[in-house]
Amino acid sequence: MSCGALLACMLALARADDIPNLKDPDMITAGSQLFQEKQCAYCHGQGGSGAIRLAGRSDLEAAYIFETIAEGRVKGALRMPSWRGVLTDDQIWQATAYIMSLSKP
Amino acid sequence: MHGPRLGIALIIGVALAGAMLNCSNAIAQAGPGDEDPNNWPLYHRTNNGWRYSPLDQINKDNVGHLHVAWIHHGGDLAGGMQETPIVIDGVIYSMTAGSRVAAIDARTGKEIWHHEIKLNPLTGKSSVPPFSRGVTVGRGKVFVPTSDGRAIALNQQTGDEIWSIQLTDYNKDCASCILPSPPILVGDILIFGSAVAEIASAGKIYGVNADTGKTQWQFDTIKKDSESWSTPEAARYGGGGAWLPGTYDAASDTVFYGTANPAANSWGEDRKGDNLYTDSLLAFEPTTGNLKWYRQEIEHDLWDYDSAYEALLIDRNGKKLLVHLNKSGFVFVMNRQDGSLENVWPAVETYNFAKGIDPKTGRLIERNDPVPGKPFLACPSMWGARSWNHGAYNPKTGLWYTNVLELCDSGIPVVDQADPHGYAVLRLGAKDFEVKKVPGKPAGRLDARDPVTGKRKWTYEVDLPLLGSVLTTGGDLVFNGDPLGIVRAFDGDSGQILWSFNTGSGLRSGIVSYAVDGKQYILVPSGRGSFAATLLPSLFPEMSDVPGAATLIAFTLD
Repeated sequence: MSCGALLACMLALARADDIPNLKDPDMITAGSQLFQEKQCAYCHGQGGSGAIRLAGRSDLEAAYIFETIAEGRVKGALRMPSWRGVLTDDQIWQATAYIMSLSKP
Repeated sequence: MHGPRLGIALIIGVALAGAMLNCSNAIAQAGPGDEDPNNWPLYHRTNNGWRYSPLDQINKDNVGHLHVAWIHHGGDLAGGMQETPIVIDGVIYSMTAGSRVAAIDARTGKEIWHHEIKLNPLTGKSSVPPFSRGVTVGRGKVFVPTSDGRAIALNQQTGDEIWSIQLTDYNKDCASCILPSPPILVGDILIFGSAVAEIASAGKIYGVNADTGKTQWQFDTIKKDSESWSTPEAARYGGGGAWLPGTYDAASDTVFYGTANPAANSWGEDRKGDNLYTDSLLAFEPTTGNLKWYRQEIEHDLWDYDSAYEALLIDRNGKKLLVHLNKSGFVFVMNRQDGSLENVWPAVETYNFAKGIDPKTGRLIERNDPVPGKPFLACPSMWGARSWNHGAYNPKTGLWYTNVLELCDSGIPVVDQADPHGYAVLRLGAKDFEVKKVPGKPAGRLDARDPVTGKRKWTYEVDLPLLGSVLTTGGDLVFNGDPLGIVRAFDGDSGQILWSFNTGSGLRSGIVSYAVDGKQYILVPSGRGSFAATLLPSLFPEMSDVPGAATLIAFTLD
């Protein structure tokens, strides 16, 4: 599947009615455990407060986070790896829930 | 009949003088480090690992007048410029990020050819973007290490592929088995080391026929020994690997490679034993891969103190020595023929992993091991007392110029399960992991020291991690760059800053010097990249906004 087609597929998947309940405390807890186990803190810092900051932001959207984790993203010198196939989609949503919980209310 | 003989003598004399002048800055080839003065034909320029260029057209008196000759842009920004370019006979062989090799006219910066490598899509899953420390040139070919574990040979004149082999088990059982560094070339044997350690696998060193690509030998850096590795599972994913180029000593026909740490970094409960051959300096025969001797610098490592860094070959008082910085900050000064110790001295000021290292035996004095389940504070940090960026030795000043990091890290050791498909999961063996500054101490230094005794002559301190490789020259100059993009020229004797220039992006590369058509150039690859440049902005916020780049900048005099 081409990259563009995959992206369209991902965005289609991330329609509002397909996004799970990201405010579910169990989702957020599972996501925070994944954040630790997969050493996400290595780049993003404990609690997302590191060099590539996730905490205290007001600009993050769930579909964008899901896509970034699943497909990876390149920005200038920086590159987020792709976790699709290493994590299940459910796990990626859990991680998304945790990251959204770090944003400004 | 003196006339014609005098005439002939005069002609010969003029011809010889002309030939000398054509050897651009005609340096009397006095000793080691001076050979092939106009070129940078090897990773560290010469086989002794010195990163010393004997060229002295640019010197202390005129370096302030350096100006940009040309700029070359390589393309992909992700991963930055981590290479040391090769320069031979007016052509630069450069590899930007992980996949674009180019031959560039060293006078003008104009590209002669380029070759783009299509990487395995799995590289999109790894913890760092594809990157490279450069290529190796010889036997009419450009040899390229890839971020998906292949070795590729290109035609030196055209860039066309000659052969390509999959060296590592990348894509099968070893997602981190990349080749991040150029091979060394000994006769017709190429020697590659794979990078592993923090991603589940076990590292190897490979000997490959340079003309055919056929693997001649493999050396397993994880020793099959149940006393050295208490569980087979731990050994199976033992880490190790040799991720920086080695050093070749022609006189003894010995190749020296340093190996990486055992996995998981802070968790060693399932790998009791000394964990050979991790954290070791290996000496082996280049054609067979047979081990001649080894010195393990850190036994049963629990701090990520690799032995992968450069080995400097220095003769002192009739002894043939090997000076080797371990990531712990301790410099092991060994006899080249058998690894016996002359001295061990600390380049780092802040350390607590042990009280010290015995300079006679090399044993750690009163180890301070992290305890499972309990918070630890370890100094130096897992970035090391220096990152992999190399130092440089100047035979005229007798000084070794090296960057130093003063940082610590903290965490709690927890059990780590190796996952060979966890391509981006780092086996830190610790939770709540953080890197910390040392209160009251600048994080970075450029030290000028005697390499054998450690006696320091001068230092340049800055509260930034210094992540570029140093160049030193026959003009008694030292060139060093910082992660904000500033490259500086220091007086090699005094440390005074004589020149600086803002390259616009962080320096993580090897600065080199070459001459062509009688002109000396300083070549600076500029481009923010690497783990360190990505993660350390959490401690050094001024590094956050440094943009990416993939730039070669050549400086010269009028």
